[in-house]
Amino acid sequence: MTRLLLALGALVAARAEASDPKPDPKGAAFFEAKIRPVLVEHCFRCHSADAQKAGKLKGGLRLDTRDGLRGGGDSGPAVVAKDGDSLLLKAIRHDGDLKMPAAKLPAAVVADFEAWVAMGAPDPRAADAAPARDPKTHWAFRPIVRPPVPAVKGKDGVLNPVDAFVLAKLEAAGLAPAPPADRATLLRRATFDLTGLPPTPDEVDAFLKDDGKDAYAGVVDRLLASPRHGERYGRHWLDVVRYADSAGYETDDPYPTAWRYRDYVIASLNADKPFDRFVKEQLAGDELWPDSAEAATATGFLAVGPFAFEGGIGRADVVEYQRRTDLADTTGEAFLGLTVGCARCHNHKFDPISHLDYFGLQAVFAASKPKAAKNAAADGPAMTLTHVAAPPAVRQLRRGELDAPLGVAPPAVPRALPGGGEVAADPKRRRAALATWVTAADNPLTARVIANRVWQWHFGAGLVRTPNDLGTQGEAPTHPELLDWLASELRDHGWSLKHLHRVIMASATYRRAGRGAASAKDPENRLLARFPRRRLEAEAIWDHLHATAGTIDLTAGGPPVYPPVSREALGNKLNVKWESDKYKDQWTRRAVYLVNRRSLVLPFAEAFNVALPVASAGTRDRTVVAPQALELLNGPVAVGQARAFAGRLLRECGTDPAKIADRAWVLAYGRPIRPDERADVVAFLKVERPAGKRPTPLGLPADAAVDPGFAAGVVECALALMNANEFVYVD
Amino acid sequence: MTAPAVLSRRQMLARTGLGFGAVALADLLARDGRLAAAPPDPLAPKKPHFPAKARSVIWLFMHGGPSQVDTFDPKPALAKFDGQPPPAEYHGLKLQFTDPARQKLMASRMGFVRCGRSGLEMADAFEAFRGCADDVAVLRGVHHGVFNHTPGIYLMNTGHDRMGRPATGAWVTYGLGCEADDLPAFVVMNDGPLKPGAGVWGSGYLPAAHQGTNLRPGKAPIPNLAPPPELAGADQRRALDLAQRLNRRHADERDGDAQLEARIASYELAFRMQAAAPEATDLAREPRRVRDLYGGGFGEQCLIARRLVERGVRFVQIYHGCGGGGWDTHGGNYGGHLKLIRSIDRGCAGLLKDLKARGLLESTLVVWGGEFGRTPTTEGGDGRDHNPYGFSMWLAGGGVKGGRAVGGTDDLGFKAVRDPLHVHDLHATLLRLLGLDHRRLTYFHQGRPQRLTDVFGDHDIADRLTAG
Repeated sequence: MTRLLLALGALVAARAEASDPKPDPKGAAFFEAKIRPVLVEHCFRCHSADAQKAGKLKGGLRLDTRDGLRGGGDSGPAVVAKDGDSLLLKAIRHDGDLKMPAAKLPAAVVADFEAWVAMGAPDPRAADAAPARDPKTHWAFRPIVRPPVPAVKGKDGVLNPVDAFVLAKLEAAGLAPAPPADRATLLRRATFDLTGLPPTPDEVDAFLKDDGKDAYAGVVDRLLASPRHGERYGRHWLDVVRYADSAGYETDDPYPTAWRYRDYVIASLNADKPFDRFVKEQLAGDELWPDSAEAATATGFLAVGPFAFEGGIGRADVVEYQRRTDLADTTGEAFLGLTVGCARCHNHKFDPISHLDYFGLQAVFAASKPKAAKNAAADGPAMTLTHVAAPPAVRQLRRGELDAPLGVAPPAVPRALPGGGEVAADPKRRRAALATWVTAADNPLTARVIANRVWQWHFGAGLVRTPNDLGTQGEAPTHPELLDWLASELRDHGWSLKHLHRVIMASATYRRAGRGAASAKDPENRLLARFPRRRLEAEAIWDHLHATAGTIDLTAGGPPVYPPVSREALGNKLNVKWESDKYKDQWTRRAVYLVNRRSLVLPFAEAFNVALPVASAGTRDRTVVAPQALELLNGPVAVGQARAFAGRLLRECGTDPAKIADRAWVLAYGRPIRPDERADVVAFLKVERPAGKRPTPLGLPADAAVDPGFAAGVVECALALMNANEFVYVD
Repeated sequence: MTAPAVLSRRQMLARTGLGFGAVALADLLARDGRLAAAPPDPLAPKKPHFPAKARSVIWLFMHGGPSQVDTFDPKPALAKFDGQPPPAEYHGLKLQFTDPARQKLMASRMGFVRCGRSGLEMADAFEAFRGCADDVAVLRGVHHGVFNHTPGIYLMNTGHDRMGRPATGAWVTYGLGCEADDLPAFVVMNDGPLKPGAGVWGSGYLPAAHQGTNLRPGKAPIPNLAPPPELAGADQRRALDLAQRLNRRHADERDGDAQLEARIASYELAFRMQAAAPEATDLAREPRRVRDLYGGGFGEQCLIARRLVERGVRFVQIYHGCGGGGWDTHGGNYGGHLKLIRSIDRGCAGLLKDLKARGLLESTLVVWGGEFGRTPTTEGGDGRDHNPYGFSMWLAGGGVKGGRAVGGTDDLGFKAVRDPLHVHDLHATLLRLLGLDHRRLTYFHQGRPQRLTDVFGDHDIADRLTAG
């Protein structure tokens, strides 16, 4: 037990040192006479500050300081007072895998070390001057205090406090904000932002005609009330929780009822469920609200992770360890914005998460197992958890290796953070304790993390651009006060995300034009003088194609839809049954309802940088690559929707090129066409297409006498419009 | 008076050697502060950390796990103790299906011959490949600890036995970019579905531009390369021209935003690829004698690999034995291996000879091997189980001196005992041969700089392999 208590990470050790009594003079003398010279002569070459500077530090272990020696390195504490099995002793005895130094020390020297450890390892050296790990010094670990709204000169650019924070930085940098966006741009921006869909022609028309003062606020309210909103923001959240409909790995077993968790997420966001409640339900809904089916469904968060079912032929303990690792790492990144996974192999080098804390977090999850969910019927119950009556003790693992167990790690939340420490050992209350701690009023991370994500979902980049890492290795916030203001605003308004959306979208900052040259002073537009232009995500491009073509099916919820996938793409994976024909009448549903198989990312989604559901994804890659162009130019989805778009234009406009052009513009770009653009398209449609060109199946009425050559031109035009930058970028 | 700047930017976009698909404007950004942040071209050719001979890689991946004692690691002792139980030290060895304690040692039925001037030994079933012995360095001491196919394939490719990490090919294109501007940087060919799926050549947390592109022989080697029938030829170009006219106006009104310019350029690249990719895979353009040198099936993929490397592709992987068990001979090991060896023999030999004849072998590192080896003991009557503890791979070209075996297993072929080379060290070695320091090739993700070799790989043997 002593060993257990002492086998803490460097952080905790360092705290303990502060209260350590000064070693008695006899012990100190023994250290100076018998121990220190040996350390200097035989150990410092690889285990000292100098070795570290030279990049030659071995095993992450420093022996030139008291804390280094006690806190230990990658393999755990080197010395535990009065423990005759201390790693250092075993190593110098050459008793085990680790034999140090290579040339064994004389027996008398080994005996001195044994005697010294038995004395309690007295070490008179001053406490380590190692990097400060006091959580109070890093911004994200400090309490959230609502900052005062700064005073700014450009008062008329301030619609709400958000603008004051942004403008203060702009003024300090000598930058002027862009003027407000034009109305069509603003409507398209807000509609894609809140619903992931383009505005309809009627919505465009209505907003352009309504110059009332409340027109825009009305639009925001309408969009927030739309069921499409939960689908859009739900998809954002599903990235964060690495949602998928299958287990991954070789067998990639389907999770036939994982969709119930996906629908729970969408419904919760539509209902504006308080975010703290939303978090608690996902971490511990079953423990906190045992009678609520909804809260049980929420724990699907814990059940839909990657899982190696082929474990039957491998090692069950490996599979279980991978499961707990996924849960600890995902929980850390998703809710706390901390890369706790770094502490799996050693104390977190930069953030206040010790090796013991990390396995304590794993121990929280050791008490729950997913109910066997594979092979369930698609209309079966949600994927949930069951408690293990007598959960096995979780051990700290040297370097994270399963075959190198150290002491037991009791269930705990990070000790150095406010309210941290061991939690109830009761297997049925562990996650409840974690959830309560994550959402506690004094937890400095949770509110900041979600406020930052919400900002990112509106502006394309967070105030902290590493949304899953607010720790010391993450980026610093561009507007720390604004982030804290938003976080406290969220907490003060019942954790209402919709309130936060309204506040952000009501700001002048959100409503600025995206045009205007970048300033050399802020080439990345981090200070938000302009609204950041950005490419739509894979799902929004999919939805946009279908909405513009008029084919989109807005049915909500239910089992995932298998769209057609080329034989070649399927050919790369065994074991995946892809019965897409059964879903033929649902192929044009919103992308959020398409299946997410871990072993086979849909080619369309993959081309446009969808996140891999193997770990929490805070951001998406936005590389511009040629395969994306091929996907939209030649791929079956885009070509199919271009044909449907052409058919729609011919049905709605007949064969009048100007009418077709006008209608196409408002459907594709949400704005009226300009004369030069109309002239270009009309000329394009009038080009003689070779005779004999067969009509494409455009869904025209049987009596529609459309010249096949003209129809082909409309298809070409539709495809061109869907490929143009304006289609996939939002200003 | 900004017109000249705009013009030069367009000209540069039209001319710069832009990587497959991704368009680079970082340098433009530097000289034109007006541009918004553009994604830098992830595939622009980059200088290696050190000078190196190897510039590209062709990795022949033998799916299923080839048996070392039946290919490149002859074990006379195994013949001596054929049919006897293995020594106690191997009992309880963690294998997938068998415990050696209950199995018998099984001699190889292959004949082994000394080949070339070097006298390097290999199974005589390699009738053509035998002639390449002097160019081949066999690594007889490769090892790791993962005995299942899927995690083993992940480990061999990504350095981790879990899904979701970048493949070696992705790391290499991340480190070196790509010389070809109209072909993918990292190409994968396979002869059937692979157990773990396409994640094996994924880019993991690296930018998606680094993921492997699956390429199939024939007229449509890359997905979506062919326009729909009603938009073939001139019609497609006309539609593209309309889109680009719209794009031009759109971008000009937005101060030539670099991300918009990048996308405009990506369409021209895509248009060029439609022609370049089928050309690169069209073997009808090769003379008959070259096609004969490689043989069919696997050989054709090897020939495509040579054409790709010749055109500047950085990393090519060919998976052999997919769709079924491949080299996974749990039963009928001898017959199975004989057939498998014959199916790759000409391809391997043709590739090395042809590369050498064209002067490409020095700059092309060829890698051969599976996710693990097989046991020297039986499984069932005549099969062999998986064995990750000691197995053989070989390297050729890229500055590697051939005609020798490096490292070795114990007398029976169970475990690597002489100069064991862990997979992490193999990865470090491959990177080093390409001029990359595995410690410096990092990508910041999940709170720390990530590497192909994680925190391992400190024992690369590149210097040894390139020394005379």
